[in-house]
Amino acid sequence: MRSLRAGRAFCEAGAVAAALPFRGSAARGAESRSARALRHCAFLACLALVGLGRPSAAAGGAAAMFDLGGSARLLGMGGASVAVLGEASAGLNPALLAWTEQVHLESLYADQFGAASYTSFALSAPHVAVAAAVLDSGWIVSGEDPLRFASQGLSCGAGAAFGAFGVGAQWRYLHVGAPFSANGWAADVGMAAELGVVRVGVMVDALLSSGMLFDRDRREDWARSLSLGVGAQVALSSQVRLQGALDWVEALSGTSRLVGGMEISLGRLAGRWGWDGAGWTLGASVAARRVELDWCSVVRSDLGVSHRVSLQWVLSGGGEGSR
Amino acid sequence: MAQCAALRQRPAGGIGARLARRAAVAERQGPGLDRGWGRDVWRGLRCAAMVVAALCLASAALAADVARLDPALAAWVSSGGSPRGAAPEGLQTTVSPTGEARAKVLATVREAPGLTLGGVPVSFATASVAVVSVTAGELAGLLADERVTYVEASWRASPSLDVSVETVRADRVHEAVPGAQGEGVIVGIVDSGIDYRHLDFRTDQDGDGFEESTRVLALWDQTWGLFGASYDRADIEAALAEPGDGTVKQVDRDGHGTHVAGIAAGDGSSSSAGFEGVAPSAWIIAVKTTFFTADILEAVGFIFQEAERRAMPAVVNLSLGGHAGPHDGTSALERGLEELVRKPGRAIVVAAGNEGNLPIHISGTLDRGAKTFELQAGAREASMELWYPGDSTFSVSMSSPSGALVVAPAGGTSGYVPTPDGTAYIDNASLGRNPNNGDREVVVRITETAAGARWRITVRDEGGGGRFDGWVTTLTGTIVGGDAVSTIDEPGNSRGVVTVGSFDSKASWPSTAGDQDDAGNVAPGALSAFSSRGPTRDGRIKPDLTAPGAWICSSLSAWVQAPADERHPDGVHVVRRGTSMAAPHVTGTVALLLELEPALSADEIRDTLIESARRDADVSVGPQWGYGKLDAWSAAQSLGGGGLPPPAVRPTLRIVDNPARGRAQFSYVLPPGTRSAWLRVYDVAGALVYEVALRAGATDEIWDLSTRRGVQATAGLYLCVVASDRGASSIAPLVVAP
Repeated sequence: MRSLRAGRAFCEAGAVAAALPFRGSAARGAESRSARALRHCAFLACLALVGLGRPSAAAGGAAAMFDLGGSARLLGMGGASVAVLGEASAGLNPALLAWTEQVHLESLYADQFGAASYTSFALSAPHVAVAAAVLDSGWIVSGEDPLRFASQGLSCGAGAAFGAFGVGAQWRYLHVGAPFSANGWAADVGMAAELGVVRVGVMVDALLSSGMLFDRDRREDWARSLSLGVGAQVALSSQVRLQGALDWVEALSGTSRLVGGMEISLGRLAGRWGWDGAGWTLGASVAARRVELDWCSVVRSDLGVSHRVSLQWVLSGGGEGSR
Repeated sequence: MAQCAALRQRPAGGIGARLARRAAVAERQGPGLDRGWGRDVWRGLRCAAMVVAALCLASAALAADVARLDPALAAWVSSGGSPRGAAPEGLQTTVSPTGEARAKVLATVREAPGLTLGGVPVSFATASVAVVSVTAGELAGLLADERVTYVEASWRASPSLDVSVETVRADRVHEAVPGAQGEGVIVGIVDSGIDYRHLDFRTDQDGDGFEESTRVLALWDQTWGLFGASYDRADIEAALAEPGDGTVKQVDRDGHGTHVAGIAAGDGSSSSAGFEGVAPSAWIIAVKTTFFTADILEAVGFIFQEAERRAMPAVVNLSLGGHAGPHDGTSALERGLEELVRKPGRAIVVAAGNEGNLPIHISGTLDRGAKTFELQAGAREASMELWYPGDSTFSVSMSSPSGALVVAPAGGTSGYVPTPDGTAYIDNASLGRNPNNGDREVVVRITETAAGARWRITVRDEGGGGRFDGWVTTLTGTIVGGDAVSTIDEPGNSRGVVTVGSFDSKASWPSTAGDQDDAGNVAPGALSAFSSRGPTRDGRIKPDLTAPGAWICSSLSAWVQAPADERHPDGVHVVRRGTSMAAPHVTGTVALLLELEPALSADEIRDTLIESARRDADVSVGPQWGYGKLDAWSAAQSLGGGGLPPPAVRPTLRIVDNPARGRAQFSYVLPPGTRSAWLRVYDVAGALVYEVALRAGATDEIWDLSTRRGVQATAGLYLCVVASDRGASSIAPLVVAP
């Protein structure tokens, strides 16, 4: 019960509308617990780092599908998601599921710079989530025979809270159907802790992994990486809230980068902007009762603009506008 | 004469009854009947077939005055359904090993046919035209199928017989940045075949200086055996790697198809003299055709199916044609072609024909009067077709040079009538009106006559009045008192195709016999005398435009012994002239347009060509010039309101081999004045994976798949761009294979 209240105090703030006011009193009451959670989190992060050794060094490839991130809301804030309660999209920090109170469904469509389409459906409930995603390049004509790249992903995650501290694990499966066949899975772990208005998180991607198995027994490693994140939220009034998030993605590797962004909520409307490590992101959303529509754009100087739209339905739990 | 008199009586009853009666007449007349063993059996079978046809057709209960059968096919049935004998010249017939004669026909249908039509297998179909092969007996079954509205004969068409690329300003499109050379577009050639070994159609993929690869993606030889033989690119490259012909048996013994393909898509790499075609980087699919209309339709369908399978746009060149047909775009072949180009990224270009200076056309407007003219045979056989309004009643009579009279009343036929000067045959819409245009068709045929013999033909209005048009349908033969108006070859009258006339572009050329000069006959810039002219019988302007057609130097098939005065000193090119040479200039230009805008529709392509056509002092818009001279540069510029940007402002990037294995090869072009440029590769999430500065002046780059991290890029999808101080290229998706 205490964890539930603490969860509300933090995570629902990132959501849409006005429904759940920021609960500063609860945060203050949890201060001592937060200190303990911080210590726990630091300890487990150290363990994770020991287990991680050093991040493995595979690049891009089919597994990049899971780097496409979650909803338009999260991408609007630069894709920072390690310490922001997001949705049940594939590849997010599963520890955040510890504070999920609602059952909600999310559908997402992204046009990846006009070169591929990314579609996903996700269902999350308290402590568990499942998501499926499809990436399709369409026909690529660059020679005699056109080809297309198509892959499908599935992720299942679970999280639990221990006081102000949450842990979670996630299993991801990836299948490449065209133009070659490949399969692979990975298991991720994540941790998060609430420290008053601040939440910190740690996530290790592909702590365990089968790698990608191709035809003829060929195998490619699945990149292992560490991400650290921090998020905070401030209620400026009953209708206006400000939230920020910052992630250190692929920390300790040669390609580490900072991503982050801000969100301002004005009643049922919200606007966002962020930096995803390579370009600016911009987003907005509008909510009505149990439905929320999010949009964001990612701007790249070379690739142009990528648009993403997601629609979320709250199926049960929470109240109007809450998520 | 008694027989003729009897035939003057208008036949009564349905089509089937008329067919049966015609079969009986054929029995009496004798010519063309099978002789030798089994004659009685064959006769019995044919009579039985005719009875079945009569019963089936009577039960079809169609409008009594609407024909469902091409008169040429009716004549074939009358002749006993034999493959040769008295069957009209040019009818596509075959004989099975059992001696059974089959005619290939085009059936116009109300709805898309399934696998069979009237119990006969369908070999190819568009939305409203199906190609089937039938015996005389099966023809009755075909007509009994209520989906069939008309059955048309497959008649034989004929091939319509440098500086021109500069003349149409295609070279500017090649050299523009970004420009177009037909890359990613299929040029289809339906013709006499292609010399696939010619270096103008080959490429050097591995950079060793030897052109071991081919741009010919597929090759279908319809003339090989009963069903033809098809080859893919791998077959052709395997044949190129062998000293002999390998498995690819197709050869172009005429050279027409190779010449046409060279104009549209040759790259001129066979000779230091050049002779690059209009779309030198286009892919090629060639069909060596039998030149029968049914096979031509199948050939075009084959090319578009192959293009669709590869998700590539395609333009098909038809440098062929003939004059059998209504000349108003309603023949089965023309309707089929029109239906085949209804998808975006498809176009068909047709040569207008080379009868612009031949009196093969006659017309007249009758009002209770008559018009008489003479058909002069050019060989032992001559044929012509006349068309008049369906609501009118015209009689047609013909007298031989010695005065023998042959008469066909409206709605009747003369049958085959022997005369001292040859055998005559007239079918005056005996099966009723043509359902496709509502008009009546007259078929006149003279066989076993003397070359040069003049047969006097009289068309008389018996009621209704109106205009008639007639054309000589045999390769030889002219009309005394005729003209060259409306001599656009079928299928050039189709609404769905771009029809191309010819203007002169070159009067002199070097040859192995020394420099040649044809200035007496050729005036560069002027309309070629031979270029067929419009309008169509229904009054539309054709040709659509003109292009260089005399004289044109292009690829020479190694199987052809070209005359020394036409053969270029390099030994691998030859000059020819004709609208056959003009059409591939337009075909190549369409390939350039489709590279720039792959989803252009056939209508958009024709509009673009017409609107951008050059109308200089030589040109007068109308049925001779169409809308002007082809201008590829203006056409490319006019696309999308801006078309080709005058100097290019953005880099272009192409992935040479996709998917990439072990390494990725890129080909790029930088805008003039580019100071710095990078090739950047991103993963699908937009994270930078690889970056390299591009060398000034270079156009190729290799990526060994090593990433910025120093590890190999894993298998998957990547997004590649060339970024420069002049902007970034379009994204080129790259698939890295394991």
